[in-house]
Amino acid sequence: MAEWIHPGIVIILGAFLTPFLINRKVKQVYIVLLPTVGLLILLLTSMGIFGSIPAYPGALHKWRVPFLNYTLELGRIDKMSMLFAYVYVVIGIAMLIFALREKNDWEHVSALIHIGSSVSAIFARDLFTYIFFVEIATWSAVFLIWFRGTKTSKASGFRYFLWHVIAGGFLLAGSIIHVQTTGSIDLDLMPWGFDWSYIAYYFMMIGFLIDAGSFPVHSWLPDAYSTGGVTSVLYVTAFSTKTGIYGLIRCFPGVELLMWLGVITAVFALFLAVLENDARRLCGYHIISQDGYMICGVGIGTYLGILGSVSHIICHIIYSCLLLMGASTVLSVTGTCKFTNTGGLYKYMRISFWLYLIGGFSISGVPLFNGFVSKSMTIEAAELIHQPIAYLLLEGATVGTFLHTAIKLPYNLWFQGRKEPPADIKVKLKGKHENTPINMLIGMSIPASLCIFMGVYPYYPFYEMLPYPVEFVPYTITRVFSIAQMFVFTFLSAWFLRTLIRGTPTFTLDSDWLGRVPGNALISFCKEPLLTFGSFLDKSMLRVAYFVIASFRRPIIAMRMTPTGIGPGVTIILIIFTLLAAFLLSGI
Amino acid sequence: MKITKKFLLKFYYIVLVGGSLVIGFLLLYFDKLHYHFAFQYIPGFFAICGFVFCSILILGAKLLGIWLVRPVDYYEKRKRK
Repeated sequence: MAEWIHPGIVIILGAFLTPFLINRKVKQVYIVLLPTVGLLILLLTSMGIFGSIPAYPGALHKWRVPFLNYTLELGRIDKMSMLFAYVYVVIGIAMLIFALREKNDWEHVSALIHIGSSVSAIFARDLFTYIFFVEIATWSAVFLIWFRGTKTSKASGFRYFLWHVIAGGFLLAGSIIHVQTTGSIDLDLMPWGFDWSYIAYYFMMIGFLIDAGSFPVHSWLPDAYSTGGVTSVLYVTAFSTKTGIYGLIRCFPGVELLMWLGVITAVFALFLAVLENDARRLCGYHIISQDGYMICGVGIGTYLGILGSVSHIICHIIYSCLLLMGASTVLSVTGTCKFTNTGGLYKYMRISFWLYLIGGFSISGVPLFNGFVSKSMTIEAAELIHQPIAYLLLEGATVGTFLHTAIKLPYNLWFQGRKEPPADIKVKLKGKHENTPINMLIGMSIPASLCIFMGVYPYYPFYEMLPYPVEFVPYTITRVFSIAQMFVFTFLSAWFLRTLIRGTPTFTLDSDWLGRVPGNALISFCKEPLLTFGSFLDKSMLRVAYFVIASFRRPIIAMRMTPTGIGPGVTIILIIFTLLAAFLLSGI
Repeated sequence: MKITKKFLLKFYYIVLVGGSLVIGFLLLYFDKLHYHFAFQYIPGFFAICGFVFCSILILGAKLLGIWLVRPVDYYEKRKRK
C-alpha cells in the first residue's frame, strides 16, 4: 500500500515556491495546479489507494508523529474530514482562478497557506495539531485582509487577529485542562454539563464559537470581510468560520445550548443586514446567519441535525463564495460596492449578475438550488424534535435571507430603477455588455454550476459523501410548495416596503462597539485619571512612611512636619495611630 | 388601457400571489400536504409567514436603527477626538 501524502502540507509547502517563479503564465498555472494536486490526492484516497476508509465514525489513521509523551496524528481520514477537504480544495481552486490576475505574489502565497492549513486542521485528529493549523490559518488570513492596503483594512485585520488569538487562547486553555484531567488529546466527543468541573469544555466551546462567528462574538466577521482585499478576502470568508463549526461538530453534538445560540445567531444577523449599505458587509451578516443554521444543527444533535449541519456547511462554502465573488466583481470593476454609490450596472455586468443570482437563490433555499436541500434538512431536524419556536425562527431566517440576498443586494447593486450607473462609475466602465474579467467569470461559474448540480441532483455524489446514510428526500410537494408560497409573499412584502430596503449612507453599530467605545474609554481612564491618582497615592504613602520613621526617631520634630504636605491635624492623628499600633504590637 | 411591460409584470405577479393561495387551499383540501405541527395546517400559513416575517424584519430593523445607525466615519471621528 502506498504511503499517504498530506494534501494540506503539500499546498502549504508548495506555496513558498510561488514568488520564485519568474514567468507570470507559469506562476498562474502553478497556483491553480497546487490545490489541483491536493484534489488528486483526495481522489486517490477515496479510491482506496492508501487503504480503504471504514464507515463513519471509523477512520484511517496516517501521519502519526510522536511529540513529548503524546502521539500527534495529522491524518485522520474519515468521511467527515474527506468531505470537508474536498470542498475546501475545490472552492480553493475556484477562488484562485477568480484571483488569477492579482499581481501580488504574497497574496497567492497567503491564500495557498490559508487553504492548506484549513485542510490540515480538518485532517487533524488531536487538539494540538488542530489548534496549530487553525493559528496558521489565522496568521495567513490577517495578511489576506491587510493586502487591501488601506488604513481601515489594517485596523480590522488587527482586530481579526485579536479575536482569533483570544479564540485560540480559550481553545488551548480548555484543551490543556482537558488533557490534564483525562489524558486524552483527541479532537472528539467531549462531555458536557453545567458544573465547574466542565470548565475546560466551556473554554473550548467559547473558542470554537468565536471562530464560528456565533452571536454575540461575531462582530469580527463583517468588519474583516468588508475591509479585506478585493479578491483575497474570499479565502477568509470560506474557510475560517467553517473550521470552527467543524470543531463543534466533532466535540459538542447535541448540546441544546448550541441549538438556541444557533437560532438566535440566524435571526439576529438579519436585522443588522437590513441596515447595511455595504454589499460585502451584508454578505458577512448572511454568513453569520447561515452559521447559525449550522450551529443549530449541531445543537439538535440527531442524525438529521448533524447531516443538516454538515451538508449546510458544504453548500454554504460554495454559495457564500459565489455571493462574495459577485460583490467583489462590482468592487473590482467600479471601485465601490456601497449601495448608495451603485445601481444601473446590469447593462454592463450581465453575466456576473446572473451568476451572483444563482448564489442568492442558493443561500435563500429556493428549490433546485443546493441551499434548499441542506437548509430543509436542518429545519426538518428541528421539526422532528418538536421545537416549534426554533422551527419558526429558522423559517423566519429563511425569509430574511431571501429578502436580502435575492432582492435587496442584487436590486441595489445592479438596478435601483436606473438604466445607467452614476456618472463617476460609468467613467470606469467599457461600453460592452460584460466588464468583468473572464477569469473572474470562470471562477464564479465553478461554484455556480455546483450550486445547481447539487440542488437538482443531490443524491450523487453529495449524499454519498455525507458521513451518515441519508434517507432525506428534499423534493416533496409539501416542502416545495410551502417555501415557494413563502417566497412569493416575502417578495410582496418587500415590494410594499421597497423604499425602506434601499441603502443609506450610514454605519451600523455592532457588538464590537462594546470593545471599541466603552473599552477605549476604560483604557483612557486607566491611562489618565487612574494613573494620576495612583502616583498621588504613591507619593502620599512615601510621605507617610517618612513621617512614621521620623516620628519614632524624633517625635517632636515630626509634629512640625507640615511642609511634607500632611496637615498638623492629620499629623497628630497619625502619631496617635502609630503610638497605638506600637502599644498594641508591644503588648503582643 | 395600454398594456405595458410594467403592467404585465404586475399582472403576472398578482396571478402568482392569487395562484399560490388557491393552489395552497386545493392541496390542503385534497390532503396532499403533510406537516409536523398543527399550526402549519392553517390555510395560507406560509403566505402569512413570508409576509409577516419580512415586514417584521424590515420594520424591526428600522426601529433598531434608531439606536444603532451612526455616520459612516463614526469610529474615525471618535479617534480624532
